[in-house]
Parts: sequence; structure tokens; C-alpha cells
Amino acid sequence: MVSSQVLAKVARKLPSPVRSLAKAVYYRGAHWAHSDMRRFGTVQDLYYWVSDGNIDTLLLLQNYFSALYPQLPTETNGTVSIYDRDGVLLGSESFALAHNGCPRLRVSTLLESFGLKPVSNGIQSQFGTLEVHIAIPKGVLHHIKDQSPFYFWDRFYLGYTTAKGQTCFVHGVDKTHIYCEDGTNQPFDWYKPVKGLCWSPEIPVNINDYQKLNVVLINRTNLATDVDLTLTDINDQSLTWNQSIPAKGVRRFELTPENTARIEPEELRLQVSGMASQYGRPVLFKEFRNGAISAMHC
Amino acid sequence: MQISLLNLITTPIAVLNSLGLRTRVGLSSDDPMTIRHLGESYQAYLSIYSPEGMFLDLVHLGEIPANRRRLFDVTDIARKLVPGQDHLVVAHRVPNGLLSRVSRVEDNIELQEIPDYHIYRAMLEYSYPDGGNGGVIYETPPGLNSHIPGHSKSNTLTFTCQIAISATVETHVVLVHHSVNPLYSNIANFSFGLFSTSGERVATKNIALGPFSVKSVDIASIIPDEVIKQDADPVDGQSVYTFVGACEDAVVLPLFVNAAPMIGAVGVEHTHPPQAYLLPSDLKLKQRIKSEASSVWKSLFSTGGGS
Repeated sequence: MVSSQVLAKVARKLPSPVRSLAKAVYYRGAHWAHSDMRRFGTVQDLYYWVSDGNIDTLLLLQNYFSALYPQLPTETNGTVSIYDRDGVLLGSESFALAHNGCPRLRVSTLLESFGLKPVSNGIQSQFGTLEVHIAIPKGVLHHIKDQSPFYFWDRFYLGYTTAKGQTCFVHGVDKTHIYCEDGTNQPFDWYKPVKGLCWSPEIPVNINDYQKLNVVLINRTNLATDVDLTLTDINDQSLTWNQSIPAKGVRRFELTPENTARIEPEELRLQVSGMASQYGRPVLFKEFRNGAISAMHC
Repeated sequence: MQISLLNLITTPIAVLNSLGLRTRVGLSSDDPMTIRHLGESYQAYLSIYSPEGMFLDLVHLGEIPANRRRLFDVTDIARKLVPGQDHLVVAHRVPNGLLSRVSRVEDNIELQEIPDYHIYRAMLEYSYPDGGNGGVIYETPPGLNSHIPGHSKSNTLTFTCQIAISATVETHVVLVHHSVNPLYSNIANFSFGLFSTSGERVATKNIALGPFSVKSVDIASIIPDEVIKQDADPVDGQSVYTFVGACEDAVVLPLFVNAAPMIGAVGVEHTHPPQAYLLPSDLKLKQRIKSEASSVWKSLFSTGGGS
């Protein structure tokens, strides 16, 4: 670790052309971004799903290869896998993507097809994580076959919809798995577990704007992690909550005007301690008294 | 090296008066990664532009003390200059430690290197009166449309699935054309296509966007009604589409606003640039693939060919 940090420092001081040459020699056919990225493949992430009878999760799976390579045939296929809040697989479903196509799936429908009734099965089945793995189209693989290692990172947008008919979207932020296009379909973890990572979201929270503000955190590593969420007011008075997030699991901290009544309600600030990965920052899932929802990363 | 304090930490924002949305900006004095510039406080400013892209005023919003968040009502602040139309504003944060070294915030400052304020983002929030709000956090991309002589021309390729249309919900794509160079004068010729879930192109639109301006387009207004009706999901009545946009003159930042005015609900999200999807070991390929794709899409959208 120390030697790689020293090398990185030295590399930053090299002139650009020399740095590129030094990088090529150092990595010798492997990928600069991750040692498990051999040849071709994709990087996928875990996303938060909710399906509680009022809010459902909408998957619009755009064939992003068509946007990047409009001149190539980009028909392909993919798999969506649904996990519970502890990272236990509930089921998987395959889908086909046309050139410029976009399969549309609802998590409630997928859960039903797995034999699960999301609402009646209790909290365990009301939220969790999901992963979508879209294979590199054959036409794209052929196009890049003579190049050095090349990966695609599906940045993703997740939709949420309500019984009232509103839909909102939030983008992905991080990486969980590396899939090599070698036919094994066995992913590698992007992250090794680390401790002590913090995140200080920029959002000023006026808690009275919300009926409920869910702070959602996903553990993208293979080791459970303890996470603290601290909410601090303009007088530096604070409240702290703690949860343990299992490997590849998800937890949400539910903030309301009622459970934060001991501190000033306006221009509150959040801090997350114990985050499992550097960019695994929270999703804020907002629920309002009029039935509106919205989601954002921070 | 000469550094513009006003360009150090900024976020361009579209004020969407035409949609009846209140626009607020949330600013923090903390590094989100909790590592850099600990204990720093900032002065916040707002540059206000006319709907035509003319600079109107620089307003001092106030101080953000160390370890604090502030929320500013941009609609309220800008209303006296631009009462009813959509327009651009830019939120700036200037560290007090640097501001004390100049006589005016507009002055440049001589520094050995650009201070590291990477991912110092602002929160843009839209809301309906007495309704819900939707927020998104982002910052001005480094060197946005700077048009420094000798540098290659900026271009845009963007794509997303964030479109849902029904009797309840509407999607607006909001194009933001900003630059870190106050002398920037390019017109951005932005084209986009909309695709059904089966991959068929259902609409194309070309927009000329002046510098320092914004443009909001109601997606439902450019897709034929019969197509929207035919594509409606039998369960929720929503018709969904994907978006691909390209521009060879400039970087244009798209935001997607999903609004349900009858409910008082709104969400907003940005898109990821295509470079963020590409992880080639040869980094030069990122720009090449983006430029080639952008060029192909522009050609398809201008000729009406391809699906």
C-alpha cells in the first residue's frame, strides 16, 4: 500500500507522455483502475429498491451501448437480481435489449414472479438492493477486440413511482462488482473492506418539510459495517443513530419531525461515519405529507 | 497562476419560473469527504443572467460559517430582475481565507496552483408551494466551455431513461448553457432524439441555445399524442421513453425535471457524461468514442435517418 502511494506521488510529477508510458509498463496488460479487470467486461453497482404497496421501484433499462456506439449493432441481454435488505438473493430475471431499447420492469412484479408478496411478507421484503448486469453486445465486443483492457461502467438511473402516479429518478453513484466477459459470470468485488470513512452531505435539511426523510446506505463490501448517522442543528446540538449493515446489505435511517424534535428543525446537517466505501454516499429518499416523493444522492 | 475567485466553487442553476417551481440553492461549508479545508467559512454569491443570457447582477447571499449549511431562495432573490421567465443563475462560494487577500470578489488572485475544491457541489432544489421538493447536487465541470485558444472544441453526448409521461406526471428536459469564461459567446446547437422502449425513434428536436441561457422543453409537447397514448402502460398509464442528445459546439448540461403539478410533486436529476460509462485502459479512447458517437447522432438527428 505504501509503495503504491509513493509510486502514485512520483507518477504525478512525471511529464504526461512519460507518465502514460510508465503506466503501460507498470500495469503490463492489466487495467489501471483495478487489478481484477482483465480484458473486457462491465462494472455494476447495487441500488436501493422499495416496494411497500404505496411506493414501487421502476426499472427502465436503457441500452447505453446504443448511445455510445450508434453505428454498431448493439442488441444484447441482461439480468436483474433482487436481494433483500441483508443481501440475500430473492430471485433473478433475464431480459433482452433491442438496439436503443429499454425494457421496463417493476420490482413489485418481479417479487410476485419470485413467489413473494412484498407487503404481506413484512419489512424484510419491502426494501433491499438490486443489481442489473447488461452484457456487452457482440457487435461492441468485436469492435473493441484488438484494444487493451476495456470496461463499461453502467451508471444507471433508478425510478420510483407512487400509487398517486408520480415518478421520480435518481442516478447511481458507486461500484460493487466487476464482471469479466469470460463466460464465468462470477463477479469480483470492486472494494476491499475499509474502516473510518465519513461523508458530510451538502444538503441543508429543514426537517419540517418532510413527513419522513430516509437516509439510505448500502454496504458494497463483503464485510458487515457499523454506520453512525449524526444530525446536527445550528446550535451544534446533535442526535446520533447507529446501524450495522451486513455485507452487500442496505439499511435506512428514518428521520421525522417527531424523532428529531429535540433539536432545531432548520438548516440541519447530516454526517455519516463508518461508510463502507469511499463513494458509497447516501441516497436521501424524501416523503412528503401530500404524498409526493423524491430521491437524491448527496 | 491567476485564479478567479468567483470560478473556484460554482454551480449553474436554471430558475424555472415558467413551471411555477420555486428554486432554492443549498450550500455547505464542509468538504463532503470531511478531509479538506476543515474549519473554512465562505461567502456566497449569486450571478443573475437575463433570459437572453445577459449578465445582470452579482448578489451577495451571505456567509456560510464553518460547519454549516445555508438554504437560499433563488426565486425570491432573482424575481426583482427576472420576474416571470426561465433564466440562468450561478451560485458561487468564495473561501474567506482567499477573499481577505483581494479588494473585490471579482478580482483574480495569484496562487501557485488551483486549490482543490473538487466535488464541492451545491444542492439545487425545486418545489411547489406547500408541496414536495426535489433536489440534485452537482457542480460546474472543470473548465466548462472555457474555449481557451489551442484547446479542442467542447462537445456533448448525453443519454438517459428519465422520462415518464401520463395525465399526472410530466417530464421537462432543462438545458443549461454556461461557461467559466465571461467572454464566451458560442451558440450551442443541441439535438436530441426520443426512443420508445422497443427502440423506435418517436421524436427529434433541434435547439439553438445562446450562451449563459437555459431552455426547458416539455417532452410531451414533441411526441405525437397518439404515440404517447399507444405507449401507455396498462397498469400505471405512464408512457416512458429514453433520450439521446448531442451537441458539437459546446458542453450543454441537461437536467430532467419530473413534475406532477396536480399532486404538488417534483423530482430533478442530472445525467452522467458518457466518459463516466467508459473505463478503457487507454484513457484517450474516452474522448474519441464520445466525439464519434456525438457526431453520428448529430448526423442522424439532422437528416431524420436511423432508428
